[in-house]
Amino acid sequence: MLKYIVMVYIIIGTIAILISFIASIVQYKKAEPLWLRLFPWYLGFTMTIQLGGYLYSHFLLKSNYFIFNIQQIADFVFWVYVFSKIYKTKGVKVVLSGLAAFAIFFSAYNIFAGEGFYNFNSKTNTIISIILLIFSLLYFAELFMNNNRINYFTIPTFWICTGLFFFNLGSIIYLGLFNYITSHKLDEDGKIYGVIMVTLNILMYALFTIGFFCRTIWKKMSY
Amino acid sequence: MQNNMEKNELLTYIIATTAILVLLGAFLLFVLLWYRRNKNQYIKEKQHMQSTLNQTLLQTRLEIQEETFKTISQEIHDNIGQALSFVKLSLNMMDGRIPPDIKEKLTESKELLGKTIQDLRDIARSLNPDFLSDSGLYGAIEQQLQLLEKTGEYKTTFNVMGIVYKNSQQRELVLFRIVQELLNNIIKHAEATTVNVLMNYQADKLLITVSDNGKGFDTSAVQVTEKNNGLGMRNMLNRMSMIKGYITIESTPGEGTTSIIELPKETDL
Repeated sequence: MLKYIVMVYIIIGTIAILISFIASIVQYKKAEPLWLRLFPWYLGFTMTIQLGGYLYSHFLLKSNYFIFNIQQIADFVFWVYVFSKIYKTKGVKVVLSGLAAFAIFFSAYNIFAGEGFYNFNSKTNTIISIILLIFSLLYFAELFMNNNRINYFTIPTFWICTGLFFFNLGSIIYLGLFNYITSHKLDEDGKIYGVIMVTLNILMYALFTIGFFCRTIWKKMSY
Repeated sequence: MQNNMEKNELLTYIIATTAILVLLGAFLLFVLLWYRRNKNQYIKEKQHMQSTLNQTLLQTRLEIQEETFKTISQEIHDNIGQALSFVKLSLNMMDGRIPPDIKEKLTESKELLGKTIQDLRDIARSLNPDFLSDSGLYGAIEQQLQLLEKTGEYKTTFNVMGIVYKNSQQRELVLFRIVQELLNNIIKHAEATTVNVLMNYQADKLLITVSDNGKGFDTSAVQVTEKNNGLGMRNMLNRMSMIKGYITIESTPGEGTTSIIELPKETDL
């Protein structure tokens, strides 16, 4: 029963990311700004890691936390690059650089001297989630302060940042307490984890998909 | 059992906190979007007001300019022209009393004076906006080309195609001033020998093409370095936008310049 529930969650979660992955490929040539063309690679990498992690633990019956420890750092580097392209203000870019450097150093420290490589680095995950939330809020602040007329619904960056914002906001509590929850067997069957993560994944990747198509959708709606 | 209750309680707190955080995030985003919507509206109104103000300022500036031209035209006609005509009359009266060796010089001076009076009359006429209503737009442009031909340095051609219709006085005046300025630019800068003007009255618009065989210029360099000197390129664009028209200038160094003025036909709303 447990395995069945986990399978259902994995399938639903994979469908969401698969749809987003396909959308990013379909819109590859029309992608604007150009950094959007990195998303097929990013989503493909994420899908591979998610499936690979599940299969690793399922068939080898070993902990797959180290895979996700590597994934969260790689993800973070990707998002730092994306936000460096998005931000217009110099001061904000300086803040980005500072926070990114801190997060990378902390991740390295946590792996070698903290929670370790084979335990899920929940502290790293919390720090990264908070930083990505700050990045999203800084983007919203830039948008907020802009003195030009802006139609949010036609800006891919807005949709992508909103997806990232909600995902990190929703996952920060559970993943931050992940080691505590697992060690105290608070969510033995993983149902709560499944519901939270699948819901957030569906929301995030749905918003990503809208971001890839948004110009096309709103152009057609204006005729 | 108590342990189980505590576990359930903790899980509930985790789920509840997660839900509250997400709702707060949604609320924050909603506030941002709502505020931005209002700001967009404000920016739109501000841009509209700015645009209206610019149009009004431009209109006022042009009206003052035309009034000034009219005053200068009248001054030339009433004062300078009259004074020179009087001088010519006085010289004519001296004819019989001049020694033969000075007579040739006097004749030359009278010819030069006559030409100057005629040139002044032409200048006064072209400055006076009222003469457009007498000659019509194409008549006024044709006269400008005739003045160019009179200098002996230019060969001009003037063609009119289509059924001629009248635009409003303001529009015709703006068009005429722009054509005047284009011709002035040819005289000042082009080093041309041929000037062609074509007026094409189409069903939905009027196209005026002014072209020359001069040295041409780099249009991008002019836009970057030009100062706001009288009717520069930017002013021509502003004037055209005021009457809802367009002007495009195509030029290549060494290959002459072609300016195309496009004015959609006025429709009754």
